[in-house]
Amino acid sequence: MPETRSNAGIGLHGLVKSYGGAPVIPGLDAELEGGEFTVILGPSGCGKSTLLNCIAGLERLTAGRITIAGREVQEEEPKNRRLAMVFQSYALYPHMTVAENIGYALKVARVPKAERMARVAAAAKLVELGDYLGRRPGQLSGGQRQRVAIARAVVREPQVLLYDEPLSNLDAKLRQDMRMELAGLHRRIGATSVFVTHDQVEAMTLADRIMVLNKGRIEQFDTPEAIYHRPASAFVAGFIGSPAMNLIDVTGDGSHLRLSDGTALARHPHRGPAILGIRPEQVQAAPGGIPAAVTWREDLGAHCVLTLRLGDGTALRLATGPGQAAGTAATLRIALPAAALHLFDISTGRALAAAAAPATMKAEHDHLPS
Amino acid sequence: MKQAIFRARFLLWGLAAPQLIVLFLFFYLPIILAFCWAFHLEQPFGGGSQFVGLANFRRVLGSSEFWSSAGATLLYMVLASGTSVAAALVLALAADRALKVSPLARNVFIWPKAVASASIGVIFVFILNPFLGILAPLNDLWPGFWNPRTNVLHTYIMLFAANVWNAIPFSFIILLAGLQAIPQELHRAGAMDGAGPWRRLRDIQLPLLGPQLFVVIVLEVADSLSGSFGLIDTMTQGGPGGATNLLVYKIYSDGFKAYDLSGAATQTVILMALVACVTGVQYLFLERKVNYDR
Amino acid sequence: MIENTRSIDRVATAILIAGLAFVLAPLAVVVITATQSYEDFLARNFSLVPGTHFAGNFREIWTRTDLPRQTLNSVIVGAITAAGRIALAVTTSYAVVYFAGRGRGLVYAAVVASIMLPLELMIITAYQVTANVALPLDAVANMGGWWGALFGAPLDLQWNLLDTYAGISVPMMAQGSCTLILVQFFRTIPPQLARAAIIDGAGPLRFLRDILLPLSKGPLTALGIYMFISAWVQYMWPLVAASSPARTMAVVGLARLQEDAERIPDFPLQMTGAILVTLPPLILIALFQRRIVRGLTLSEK
Repeated sequence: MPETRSNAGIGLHGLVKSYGGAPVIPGLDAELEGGEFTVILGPSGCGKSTLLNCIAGLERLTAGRITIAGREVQEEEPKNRRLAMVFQSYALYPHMTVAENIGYALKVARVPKAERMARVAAAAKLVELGDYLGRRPGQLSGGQRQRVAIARAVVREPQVLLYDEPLSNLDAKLRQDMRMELAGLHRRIGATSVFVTHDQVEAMTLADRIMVLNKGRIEQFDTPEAIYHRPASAFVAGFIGSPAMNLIDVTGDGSHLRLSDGTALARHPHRGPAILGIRPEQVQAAPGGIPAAVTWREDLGAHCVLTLRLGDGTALRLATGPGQAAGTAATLRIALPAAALHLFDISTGRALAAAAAPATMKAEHDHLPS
Repeated sequence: MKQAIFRARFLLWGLAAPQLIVLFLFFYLPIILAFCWAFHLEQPFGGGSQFVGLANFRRVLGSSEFWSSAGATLLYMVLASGTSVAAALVLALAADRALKVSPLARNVFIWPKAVASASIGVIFVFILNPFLGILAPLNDLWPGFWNPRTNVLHTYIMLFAANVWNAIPFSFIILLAGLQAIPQELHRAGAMDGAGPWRRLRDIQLPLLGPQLFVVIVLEVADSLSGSFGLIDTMTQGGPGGATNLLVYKIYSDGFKAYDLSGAATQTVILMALVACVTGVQYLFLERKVNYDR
Repeated sequence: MIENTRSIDRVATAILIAGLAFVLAPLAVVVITATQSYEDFLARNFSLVPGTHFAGNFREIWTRTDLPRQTLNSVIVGAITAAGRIALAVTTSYAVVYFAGRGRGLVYAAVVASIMLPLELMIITAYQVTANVALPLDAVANMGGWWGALFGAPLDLQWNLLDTYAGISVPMMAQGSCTLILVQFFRTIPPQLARAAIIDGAGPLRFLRDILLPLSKGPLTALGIYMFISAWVQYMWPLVAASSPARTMAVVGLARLQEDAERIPDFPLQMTGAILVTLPPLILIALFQRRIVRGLTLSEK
């Protein structure tokens, strides 16, 4: 639990942002609770950075309202919104020392020098930068610059902290360390945090709730657990999870879901065309199941991923359980457990939850790793 | 340097030789020759020369005409480069904003580069002619309102106006490129830190523009001098009363019109020393302040 | 931009419009005056009403002055100077960037130093060198009189370049800014490229010809145009290096149009001449503005 918790929730109401007539965000409503860590996740060009800049006040809204702690701020300058931001490129001032970088906002706000230095020192200590206060950004490593950027944001004790893909310039190992540090930092300072990323691992590990954004619209806004296990749309299903969920065009005849060549994939009462989703790790090898040709085999050590081809040419991926060998067989028989199936509308992509929901819900828990 | 990969030493000198020869003949040799002549009495038309020690310097430094010319030169260097860099900076700061007129301005502000200093001298001398030019009606109303032929202040205003007009392009290009190289995220970070546009100008844009400002100031000092000849020769011929007789112009008339080769060479040496000093001072006091790792 | 900065944008727009007016107004006056006849001008003095006499003025410039010939000189000298400066800069910067050796720093310093002192400052002695380019040979040969002792008479080679295209253009090449810009550009080219060329069996000169030059085509063209314009607008050196009106350059010729001090100058004619002299480089600038700017700002990356 956070030691302190900001109560500055963020409200987005009918938010529209367009550039020269082309809407990037066609209309968006959401409530981000105070102290919550929200991750905005989506592919590049989905409008997630634009949304963050709108909250920050760096972009002007075309229409709609933004509230922070209940106060309407869409007409306010960024500096009056009581928020801080960590940028993708860190945006450190190259001509200032680390201490001057961290303390610049306080200097602009005319905080007395003694207090300023104390707060800079405290912020630097928080991110373990105390020894580098006299250096210039050019003399620091990527990870250290990242820490300066974070210290610069937290030194103002903001109610809201915004992160614009802050980890994307770091290498994989550093990224993992910084992820843990950011989570720890959030627990300590408890500011309402909004974190933009295209990396699903960052989203799953950091977020209290994930907002999945696609073409400026919210596909789903829920906890990581719900996003993973109960994707609200084919887009979310395909975006979260690695390897990605299999999405197969099927037609239901009321008892079975069938491929275009008539092969029955699974039992299901759905009628008409639909998109069938199943995670690779839930596809099971089963004697007497559907025949499939193995076209590609990836041994990742901990487990294997097989790419299969079904009768009508549809590709399907299967992930074996931990330590399970992939085998060398050229063909395989598989089964798709009814409990693991997701069904999406063929035209809207939204989940068709109603038909099998109770069974799915119950079955999900059998498959949870815990 | 990491790119230094070929090791053929003869080829290195072979490739550099053409430019080194040209530089030697028309840059270093004239400098050496100027020093030579400054210590000799040179007769015009190959009339022989005679070593005279510091006599030339004594003669030149003893003339009040030289001192007023040197003072005017220094004043012109500082004011001409100052006004043109300041004008270019203001225009670049304005053009850096995404305004409707910015693209047009970015194109048009380069045009004066195509106009020779002597051409703009001819043009401005006509436009600002006290009796026939654009200000002539004001002179009819208030006689003596504008007369660059007799009023030294008016002469200098005319010179600086022509110089600024002619010097905008280079400084503008370099400064605008420097401004646009400042990442947008730094502006945003500044805005998030609570700094408004003016504060960001002072704390972020100008300090980060330091290297470009330095280059532009250093080059503009040398350029204002070399461009001054075309302006003065077409606009004032050194007048009124020798007030705009800058060293560059004085050396030309002393050497080519009065055939005082030794005197001209001595003043050349002093002028080069002056420019070298100004440049050196700039390096000492400015360069250290603009260095940082980006 | 970032905040709601309408008031600042308005000020900036006003500044730009003022700047545009400052730059364009003299050019407009030139064009308008060039359409007036001398008689119109004497009758009405300064006037912004266009006349109909441009063709007449232009015919007079074309047939009764040396300006057409001098404009051709400007084209030739500009082309020679630009080509020469580019060629010298390419070889030198190639040597400085791509060759290891003790000399490279020295070469670079010797070249860059020439940027600080323009030719105009040393006009007297540069003139003297151009009047006899063999001067240094003579000086070395006659040092201590050894040539005279060996051959009976002191060496007295004469090679006068005054009043020739070479004499006007070559001294204008003795300036290192072009080299400075190209060195900066070559340094942005990944060194792996040269290594790959070596692996592929290309020698230094082949690498220069087959890879570096084609790669630099854009910047070199821009730089070439810029250098052409820079040579075109020179005034002081062409003035002293070419004494005959038929040899000198257009800018000098334009300034000499107003020499006749006895009567009120024929300003419409002068402005017509100014158009002829200014239009070629102005068209180049307006057309290649983007490339020139990119070429010039290479060194600022």
